[in-house]
Amino acid sequence: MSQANVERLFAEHAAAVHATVFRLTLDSAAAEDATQEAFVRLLTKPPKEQGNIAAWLKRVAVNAAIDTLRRTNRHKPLGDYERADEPRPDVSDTTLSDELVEALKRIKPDHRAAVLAVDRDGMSYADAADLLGVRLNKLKTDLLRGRRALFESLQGSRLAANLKE
Amino acid sequence: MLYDGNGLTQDELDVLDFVTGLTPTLPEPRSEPCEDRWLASELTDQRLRVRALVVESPPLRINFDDVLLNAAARRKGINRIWKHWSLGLMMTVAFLSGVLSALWIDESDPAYTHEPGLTLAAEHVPAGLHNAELVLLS
Repeated sequence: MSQANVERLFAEHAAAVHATVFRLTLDSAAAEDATQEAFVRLLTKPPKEQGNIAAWLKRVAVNAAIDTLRRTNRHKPLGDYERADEPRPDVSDTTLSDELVEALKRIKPDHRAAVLAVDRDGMSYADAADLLGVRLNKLKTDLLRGRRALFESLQGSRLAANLKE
Repeated sequence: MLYDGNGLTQDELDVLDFVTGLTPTLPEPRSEPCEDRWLASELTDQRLRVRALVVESPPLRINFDDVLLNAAARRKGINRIWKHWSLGLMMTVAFLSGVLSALWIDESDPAYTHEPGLTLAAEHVPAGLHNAELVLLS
């Protein structure tokens, strides 16, 4: 694919790809790296079928971000969320939302992405599996384990107390 | 216990669909009840909380020049790897051809067996030639 074409696609899709990855990972550094990786791959190793290039870019970027997070184990320490150079996500409400975001950041990246895709974005299992580039069964497993992990991650928080009421 | 091939039991799949909101009521367990069944209402409530979470992504700070730089660095790295591979391949081919030619030497050739043939050849060589030249002549 020519450089001019990729530049045009970057202008059209980069922001959307970045937003998608951030929404599924809640990690701005990983989202930027993954967005860049998707366009580098488009330049160096473009897909054979270029029908839905936006979907391909999102899939590549989401997978790259999850791989990076898995490799670096960024989900384990909570400190990542507190880094000064990382903009905190704007959440609609208060401490409860903050607790929820922090708890989400503590669970495994593939589990987090499955929970956010289905539970927050309301995607069907099939659409979420397609976006994340995984089989349907893997998506369901990640979703089940992710919900459970999130529930356990919230234990002791005010939100957990609210859930039990 | 019924399995879906991926480790999820039928009961886990039932709970999954119920919490997702695909089934209005949680069916009675058709296999051994899973742990999540007892948390189904909390997990449903948790899903609604997650649903209400509004997250706006920060602005993208990279531009197309960053992509080009990264792509150029990647290509350079790939070229370097190919150079190393091709050098290694050439050395391997040279080594193997040396080994094969050594194995395929015709042992009946008097030049390699130190049989009279070599002696005869040496006898016909003008005086004053060195050993190396003798070998070449043979």
